[in-house]
Amino acid sequence: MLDRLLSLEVPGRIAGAALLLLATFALGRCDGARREAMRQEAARATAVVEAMGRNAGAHTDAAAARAADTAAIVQQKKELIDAIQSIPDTHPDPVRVALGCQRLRAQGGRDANLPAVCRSPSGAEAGGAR
Amino acid sequence: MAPAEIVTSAQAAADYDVAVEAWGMRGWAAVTRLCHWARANGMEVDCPAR
Repeated sequence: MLDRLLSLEVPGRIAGAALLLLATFALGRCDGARREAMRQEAARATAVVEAMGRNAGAHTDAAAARAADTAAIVQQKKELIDAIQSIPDTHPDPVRVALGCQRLRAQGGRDANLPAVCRSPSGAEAGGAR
Repeated sequence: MAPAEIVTSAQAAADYDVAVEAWGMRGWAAVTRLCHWARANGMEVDCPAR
């Protein structure tokens, strides 16, 4: 190829050399672009592996926290129930009755279906021993 | 669902309160776990303390 280039006249040589330079430049660019794509792919793969590692750690922490939370909540609920279950039951006081009636209404209970105490004019009866 | 007994029995009303409280605690515990999980995965968020 170089022999053919050298056998040309000067303008031809310049044009040939320019073409050769252009081809070399284009090939270099292709090679650089491929290298950049590979570098980006490697960076993406590294990021995915790191994210998976972080996520696995977060899952492990959450599982441990879930077990601890459940145990703590069950224990607290038991202690609250234990604190009140041995006390003789009574009628709730008027405020609690009014609150309870409103809760029953809020969850869809129609007045006709509510306990009689909720249908009294005040919406609540006086509390006291049952 | 609240039982109708909450308006006739102080015990039932208290039991219901305990159940509601436990439900709320379970919910917030789940929110807290989700928040910490999201933060561990890069989300910028303030989470309730564990």
